[in-house]
Amino acid sequence: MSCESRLDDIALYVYGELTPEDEERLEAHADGCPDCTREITRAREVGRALDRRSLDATASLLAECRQEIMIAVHSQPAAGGLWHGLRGAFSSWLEPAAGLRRLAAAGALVALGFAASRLSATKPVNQPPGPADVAENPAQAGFAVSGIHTVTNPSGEDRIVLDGTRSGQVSGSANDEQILKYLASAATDATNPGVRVESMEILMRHAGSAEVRRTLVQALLRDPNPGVRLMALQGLKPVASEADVHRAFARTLIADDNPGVRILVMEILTERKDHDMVGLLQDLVQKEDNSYVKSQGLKALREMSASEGHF
Amino acid sequence: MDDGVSDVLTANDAAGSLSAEAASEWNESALIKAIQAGDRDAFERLVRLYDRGVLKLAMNLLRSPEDARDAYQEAFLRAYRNIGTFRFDCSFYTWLHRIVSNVCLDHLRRRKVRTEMPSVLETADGLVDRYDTVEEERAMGNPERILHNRQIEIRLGTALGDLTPRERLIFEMRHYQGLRLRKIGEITGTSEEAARNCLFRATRKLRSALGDLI
Repeated sequence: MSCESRLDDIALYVYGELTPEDEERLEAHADGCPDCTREITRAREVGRALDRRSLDATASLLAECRQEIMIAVHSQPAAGGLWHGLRGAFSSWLEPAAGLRRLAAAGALVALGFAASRLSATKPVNQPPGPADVAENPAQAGFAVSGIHTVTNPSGEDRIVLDGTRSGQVSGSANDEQILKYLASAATDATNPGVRVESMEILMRHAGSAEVRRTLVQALLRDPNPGVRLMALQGLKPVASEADVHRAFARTLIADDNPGVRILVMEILTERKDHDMVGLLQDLVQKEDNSYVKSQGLKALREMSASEGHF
Repeated sequence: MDDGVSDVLTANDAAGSLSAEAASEWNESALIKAIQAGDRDAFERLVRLYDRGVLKLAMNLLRSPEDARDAYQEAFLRAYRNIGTFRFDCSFYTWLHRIVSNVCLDHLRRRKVRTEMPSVLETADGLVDRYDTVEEERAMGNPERILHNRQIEIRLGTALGDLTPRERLIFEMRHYQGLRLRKIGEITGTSEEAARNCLFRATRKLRSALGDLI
């Protein structure tokens, strides 16, 4: 067997997929073969380089995914039973992507998050954005952002790069006041849902700034897209005790039309043991139609040692 | 321990995503039967047993939180709608990962035929992969080493993007999820031999893309 033909064996060797006998044979050969020894070292280095590319989902992404799937599941007929019998008749609905989108369009609870937020700019029924909240023509305010990227240069520094709609680029640190202003302006751009999401991804980490906090509150109350509102909520979580944020949470809990957003508010309030919100939660569980949201509301009340209803 | 739970432990321990404690906390078969009888809360518990691994697989394959999120939703919703047909003739892990693999393959195939925002950007400082992390490199603090590693990572990123969706999936399952080729064959509906050949093709392509960098 030539050394060239051992390359595949080396791939299996580093993944521990050779039989013990083949492994023994390869090791015995490599012992006296510098080329194969080098190849094994090289394969391991490639493996380490690949390991450095490994991505982990953030805890917040996992939490949002869990919330969304359970909302979707609670809008489905229960597994088994009649649904199981009818499944064949709806098999075309089970196709990937198309089926999910059709289901959403058919009125199932959406909460598809960021992807949907890039595609959709529909307004929630009970939260029409006021004319002053959204700049229809952000270019009038100067530099208008059409795209946002975060770039890490070789020295390890993160830079925010903002593409202008008409001219050039602006870049700077995420802590730069001017960059945050541009991002705040982009976050209210009604004409570009994608850029609203991208700006929110950065702004949600800077709620300590009063101006950013105002932008997040406005997005939570006014943004037509539930994905953006969820991000605003996440961003406001660390400053939930501020009066304006507290008011915005209360309003969201009773008025937001997206169950995913309402559930996240409940989770934040439960975590903070915010007893001022007990009355609102009690109202919510009495009126809530969505069984999952209702069950989460009841759970939140139990965790705050509060009763289910008013007495 | 039944085959299902054993598979879960093997696969998830390798992926670092499920502790033995979590696996033993819930009796998987009982959960599945409860879901089949209409218990949605049981489905939530079942999701939590597996979803870290599923999301990590989707994140690494699709390299985009948005697409990973979509894939997660599609996969678990399909699992829920079809769990009535699950007859325990394979482990639930295998059954679920068949669904996840198909969903991710569909995403990758769609991506192949549409224009994507490239993950590698040209900047004044050279090529930069938007999804790369540099924490480890910062700690090392050696500029030459940083640059060298970055070149390797960029080439690897491009080479991984050039793999066929099937090669990409099988490579991902073997390298990042730590699944055995036999299990990968079961999940992807092929033989162990076919999975092995796919891994060979993928590793040859990666080796060739790196040239003399390593």
